[in-house]
Amino acid sequence: MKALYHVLKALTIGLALFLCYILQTSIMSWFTLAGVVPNVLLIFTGMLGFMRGRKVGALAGLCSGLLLDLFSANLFGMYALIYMLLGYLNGFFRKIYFGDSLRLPVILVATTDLIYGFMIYCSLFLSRGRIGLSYYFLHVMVPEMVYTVVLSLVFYFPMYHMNQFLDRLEKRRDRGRA
Amino acid sequence: MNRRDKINIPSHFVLLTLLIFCIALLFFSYATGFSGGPLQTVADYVFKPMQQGLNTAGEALLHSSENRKSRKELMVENEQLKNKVTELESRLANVQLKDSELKRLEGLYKLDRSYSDYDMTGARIIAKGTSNWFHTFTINKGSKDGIKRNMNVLAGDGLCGVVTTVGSNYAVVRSVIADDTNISAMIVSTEDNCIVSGDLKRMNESNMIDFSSLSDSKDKVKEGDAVVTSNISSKYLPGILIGYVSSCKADTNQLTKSGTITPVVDFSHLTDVLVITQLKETGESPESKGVSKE
Repeated sequence: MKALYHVLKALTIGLALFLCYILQTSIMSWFTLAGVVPNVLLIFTGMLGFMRGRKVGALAGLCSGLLLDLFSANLFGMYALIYMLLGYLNGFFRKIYFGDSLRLPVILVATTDLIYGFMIYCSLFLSRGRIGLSYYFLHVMVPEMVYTVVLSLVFYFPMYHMNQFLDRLEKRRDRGRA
Repeated sequence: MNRRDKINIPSHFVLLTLLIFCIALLFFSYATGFSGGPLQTVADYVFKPMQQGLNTAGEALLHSSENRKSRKELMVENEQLKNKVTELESRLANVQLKDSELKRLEGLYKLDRSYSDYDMTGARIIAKGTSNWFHTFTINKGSKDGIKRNMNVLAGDGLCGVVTTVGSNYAVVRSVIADDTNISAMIVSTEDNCIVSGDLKRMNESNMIDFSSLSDSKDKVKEGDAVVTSNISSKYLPGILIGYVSSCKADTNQLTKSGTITPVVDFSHLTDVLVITQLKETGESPESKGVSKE
């Protein structure tokens, strides 16, 4: 029973990750606004973090990061590290997440995206001597954040229902044991 | 309940394990150039077909909106095109004559090195890069089609990028305008060397890329001069057009010049590219080269 629960949970999250990834790499580039694309995988990682906790958040972040690394030209493992940390950080907010309002998800996604921007800037731009943070902040990070937050409103509901489904699974497992 | 408590792993322990894993991965990929390994196989069979399918669907959607032209418009256009075909046919015959003559003369002068002679293979872009920070894209050919790392990628007339990662069915291309690109280039008119580098800021502001370290003591380089890859580049084949000089000014040291280049490739509307299936021979093993200097 326990093994089945874990398999079902991993399958659900894996499927969601797969869909988000396909969306990010193949579809989002058609919806470029002001030169930026929204960061679907970041929404996925962050939401899973504050809905399911630190461990799931970190693991989901690691998996999304590894997938991104596959199709990026940077050092392999860079995105995995960044996304893993972001998923873990979001996990701290599980305690105050009750699923009753959109305020917390929106604030968290916005903050996560900004932190992501700073991390990428520091690790991949500043290290090559590209200074001028204010430019990158205004022209890359903020537009991406706004677009990602808008999209996160759409993504919140499927993610919310997935979370409910996982909760029901967990309850059934606990009942089965008792 | 006790059983679960026993099995429960503390999350900071998970974090530490994953952190060590990621950092180890970073060092490993830096040292060996590892880029996916077994994960690439997954990408080959799971993601690539999906991306390709979605991309075809997307293109079909875009085209279908263009399909709704009225019959009258089509008739007029057909007539115009027919006229154009006859005109072009006569011109083609002329050009073919000249071409054969050119080939003969080139043969005489041993000049047949222009890049139209490189072996190329066409490829289709199936996914765009995933971040707003770098310009990369994925093409639908990989090591099974003979694509190797560091092969040059063309689009239309000009240099588009270089292959950085190869799976068996796909390859990732870093474009010329990506922020971490550095190319050793040459101004055609004066044969002076310079360094062309992508810059996210410049690209966002004015759709241009930078060049620097140009030594032009006679002030001969001017706007509109063609810039091609130089023959001392370690990755890029010589003589591939990158773009045209659009501004040029002296550096503060008064010895070198720098400025901007308008790339010939329209990077916002790329769908198909050509990969040159020939690697630059430099006499040193590709692994011994630095990562940043190309």
